[in-house]
Amino acid sequence: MTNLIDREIIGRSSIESYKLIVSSPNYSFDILKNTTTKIHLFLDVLNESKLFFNINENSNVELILISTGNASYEVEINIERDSSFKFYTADSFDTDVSITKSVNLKGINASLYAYEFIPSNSSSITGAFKLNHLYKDTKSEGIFNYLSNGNGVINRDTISTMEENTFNSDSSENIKGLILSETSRIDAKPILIIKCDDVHASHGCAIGTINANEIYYLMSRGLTYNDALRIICKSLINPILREINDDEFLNATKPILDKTIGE
Amino acid sequence: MAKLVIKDLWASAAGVMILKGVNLEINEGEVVALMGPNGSGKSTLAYAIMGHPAYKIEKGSIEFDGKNLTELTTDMRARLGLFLAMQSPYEISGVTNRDFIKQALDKKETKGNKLISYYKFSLKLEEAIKDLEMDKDLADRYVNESFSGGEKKKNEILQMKMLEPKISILDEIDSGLDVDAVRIVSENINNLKEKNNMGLMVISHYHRLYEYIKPSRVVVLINGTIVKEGDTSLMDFIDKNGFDSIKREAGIEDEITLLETCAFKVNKND
Ligand SMILES: Nc1ncnc2c1ncn2[C@@H]1O[C@H](COP(=O)(O)OP(=O)(O)OP(=O)(O)O)[C@@H](O)[C@H]1O
Ligand SMILES: [Mg+2]
Repeated sequence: MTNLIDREIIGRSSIESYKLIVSSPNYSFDILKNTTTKIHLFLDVLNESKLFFNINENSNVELILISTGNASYEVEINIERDSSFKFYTADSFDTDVSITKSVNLKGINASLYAYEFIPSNSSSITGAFKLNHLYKDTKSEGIFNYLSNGNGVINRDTISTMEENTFNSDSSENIKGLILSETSRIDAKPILIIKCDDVHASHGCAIGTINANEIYYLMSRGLTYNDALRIICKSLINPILREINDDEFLNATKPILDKTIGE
Repeated sequence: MAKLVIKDLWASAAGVMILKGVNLEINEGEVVALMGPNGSGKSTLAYAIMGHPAYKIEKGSIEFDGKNLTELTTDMRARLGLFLAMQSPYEISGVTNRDFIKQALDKKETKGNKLISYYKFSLKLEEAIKDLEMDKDLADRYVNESFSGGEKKKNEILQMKMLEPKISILDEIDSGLDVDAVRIVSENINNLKEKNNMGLMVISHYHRLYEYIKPSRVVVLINGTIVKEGDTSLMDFIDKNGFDSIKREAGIEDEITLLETCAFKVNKND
């Protein structure tokens, strides 16, 4: 990698959890082998930036990435053999940006679980989430939840690639998008590129406006229209909040949601 | 005393008139059985009372506690103390039953500014779940998602027990319930009725439910109009004879009979 200004090596000490606020444009993380760690990363950069993660063998890494800066960024993650990576991310922007997240599953039994939440109510958000299977017996699962309101535009591809010789690998992608206003848009599609015969891959995509019957059901129990709308939008992040039970993520997503749908 | 008064109610959906001048009154503490053939407009009436956006009130009035409901949003109607247990409850993925019911209850209580504490709420919810012999896990599952037919119906009654409405409309609450579940659900409905003097409009096709929840009156809706009222003997009559003779008595021929008649006439002219 060129232009690496900052570099963090994780796994040498017994520290189990990190909280980092990144404000420099290029940042690299090396996670040593046999490391179990949880990293909270708050990305608040003003210019285009790139993050790079290298997860060495037999490690378990959980990364919670919240970006609130108003600049495009790119993340690239390499997962080596027998390592698992859980990647939870929420993004919020006021300007047009492009975000690309690429995960390379590079060794046997490398696995990825990814959750991405991107709302927009004024900006155009483009880019892609790439799940690259490069070795046999690799697994990836991605949940991509988008919310658009106002004039927000979300235009993203989630691309799952199974290279040759990725036998017995498995990839699943699920996209869900809620469009709240007539002037906002979500264009997202799951793309599968399969170059190996013996793999499993599945994907689902459900993008639409709020279901009037769901709103009605909630209102019939006394919730106002706004309460009902809010509770349905929150359903895009609730399952993950429940799953990871992480206060930082909860605290970070609340204002992101508020900003998108109003208090 | 809370009272639901429906006067000359006409309602349409997708441009088709479904309710054609319904007159009905339900008082606190009484049980009105609403019967009628499939497609006669029973669910439409229930939805119209609860302000479903798919149903347009064309004429007439619905009053509850002296307030004109047609001017109020669905949530306002609910907060006044009306409840509808739906024939096909909707699923809401990603929202837990617990969160949903707590929010609904908080909304109801805000008037007096005495929000129920989370602890007290949880106790009440657990007790209600136990009363209904529901699986404990259902509290923290997403609203109706992947619930069995019977679990969905019990979940409606769970919400009713938590919200304690003044008048409830139960739209085929017994469909999808096994024999024991019908008994359990009925007991819970009766208990709440006793406790709060709740009024009920009970829609069902089956006698069994009305054996548990004894109606004070029986009304029959056919083709969007209430054509007959009576006591429980009317129910027995329908059970034995179906709706045909009531239709005939009311001068309503259904489409099939009409078509048959036409076909007959055509043949005769040949
Ligand atoms: N949203 C709608 N759009 C169009 N038609 C509708 C709508 N809702 C109901 N209808 C029609 O109105 C009529 C009455 O329907 P409704 O569901 O009220 O009947 P019901 O008496 O509850 O019948 P069942 O006993 O089968 O539940 C039916 O012919 C139905 O197809
Ligand atoms: Mg019905």
